[in-house]
Amino acid sequence: MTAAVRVSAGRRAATGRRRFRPIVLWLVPILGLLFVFSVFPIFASFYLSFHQYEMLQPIKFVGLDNYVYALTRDTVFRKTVVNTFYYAFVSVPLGMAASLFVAQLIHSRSHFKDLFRTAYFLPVVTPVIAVTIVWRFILQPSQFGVLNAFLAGLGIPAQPWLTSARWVIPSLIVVGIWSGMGYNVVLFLAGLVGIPHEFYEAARIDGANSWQMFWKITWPLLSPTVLFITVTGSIGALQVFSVPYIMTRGGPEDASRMVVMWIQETGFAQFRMGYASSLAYLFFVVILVLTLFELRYLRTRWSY
Amino acid sequence: MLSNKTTRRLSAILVYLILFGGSIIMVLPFYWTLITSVKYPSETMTYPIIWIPSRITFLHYEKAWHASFPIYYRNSTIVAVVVVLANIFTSAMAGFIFAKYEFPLKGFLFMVILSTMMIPFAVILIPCYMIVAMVLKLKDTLWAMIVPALISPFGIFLMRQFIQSIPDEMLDAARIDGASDWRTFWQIVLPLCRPALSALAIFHFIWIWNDFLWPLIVTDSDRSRTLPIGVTLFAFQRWQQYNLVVAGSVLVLLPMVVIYFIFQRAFVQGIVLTGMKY
Repeated sequence: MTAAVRVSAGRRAATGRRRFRPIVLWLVPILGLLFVFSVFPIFASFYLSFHQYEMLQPIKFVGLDNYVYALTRDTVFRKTVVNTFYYAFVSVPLGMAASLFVAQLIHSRSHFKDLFRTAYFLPVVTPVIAVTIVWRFILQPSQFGVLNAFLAGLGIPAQPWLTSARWVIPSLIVVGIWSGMGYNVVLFLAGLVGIPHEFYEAARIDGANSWQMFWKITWPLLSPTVLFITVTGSIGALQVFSVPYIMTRGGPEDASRMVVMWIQETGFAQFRMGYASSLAYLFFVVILVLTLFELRYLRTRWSY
Repeated sequence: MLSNKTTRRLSAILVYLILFGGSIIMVLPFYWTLITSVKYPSETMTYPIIWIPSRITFLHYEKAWHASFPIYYRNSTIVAVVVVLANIFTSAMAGFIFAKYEFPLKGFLFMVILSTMMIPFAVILIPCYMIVAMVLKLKDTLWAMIVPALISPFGIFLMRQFIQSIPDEMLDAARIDGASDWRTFWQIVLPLCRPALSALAIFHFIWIWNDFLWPLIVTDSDRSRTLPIGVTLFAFQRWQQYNLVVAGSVLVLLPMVVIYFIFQRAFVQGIVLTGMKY
């Protein structure tokens, strides 16, 4: 009797899950906030991008004017796009190669693993502002800069790292790789631990050298990690803002100004909010296309 | 001809040399920061660099601390604590509902949440600012940084994935014993989610503590400035006073580094568990 009751109650509970329950109403405030601060702004920004809006004057429809201006006449925007691509396309592959190299070395030895992981990860948790202040002093143009002092020891003359148009982006790339590398090292280490020993042993019996083992076993089996780091890394690098904003403020002469800095500048210093929205949308399309391209290209190359 | 054993030993030495060299590059800037923050100015801008100062002082910390740092600390702490606690709750709640209940438009709503994760922040920056500053009139208050961050699409996504792996039978058993949906959530689901929630909490804390662009835009005065913004302004006004600026940056990084050393294991597990970038 009790057993029968319990069975039917159990069945009711199981089917009850399929029905509406009051707890679902909790989604209303949560999704409401999401709608106000994430969904609605996407459309609002699209709407604004076709308007002239400068906060104090009424909003005015201008059609495609903002986009046309951005693509044909805004030389600063063009410069920021070039800078941002330069930064992202060098720092992502270089950072990945460096962190895979380090992860591979840490993985190949049994001692000091935790120590190395701690050291390489430390910059990742350090607040960007602290990283930037420290590196600004390291990269000081005079002989008092830490890096220049080192170079002087090697007989290389002092370089104006952050004040020369030629060296400023490479300097930012070094800072970016230094501060983000530990994150990729941890991801690669997790990937390397997941590769079974037997694969390497079998390859060794077949006479493979370590170079062949890396390219035929390690690299293909790490492809999910590589894909993940490429996609999230380039999305992050293209949106770089705080490091150049604090370290160089875009200088010298826009040589290190990035796209997001220009959006912030046009929107919140010049108050051209409609125009800034159109820049943001153009930028979004670029990121989207690049991400889809990366996903497609890297996925079809590796189908494991 | 080297014997097999010697080559192996040599390669081991080479590997450790490279790894220790790399570790020094990672740690040396921190050491330089620490000693510069306690050096006397006379030993600061020297060539060659003085790596071991002959005497030290804490005067720079004292000066930096008195330049509004207590307010920045207070602001950063309030924002981070409220945002992290709220996110744990909203992410787990929404994740639970999406994982274990049926309701109209469920698939569509979840798709919407996923797609908002792909949008670069720069795209929604201006409308968000207009809502916070003009509609809600929250500019230059701590609420301006708290309200938009109360929920996170990524947190909801992560928690849904995690809660889906909890067997239905466990929840049904609780229901048969007469537990309400609410009680099932608090007493069964939340405790089971502890690993995912602690990863979420740590990463959200780092992210909100270090957030820069949004606080920069919505704060106007020390009343609401968080640490990163306060220190940036502090540095912009005093680039020539090396020791002072560096002492300020130590004050920002100290809490983060302490938290890192306490929760080191959770950090590493969290990255692997979530693949989260912050």
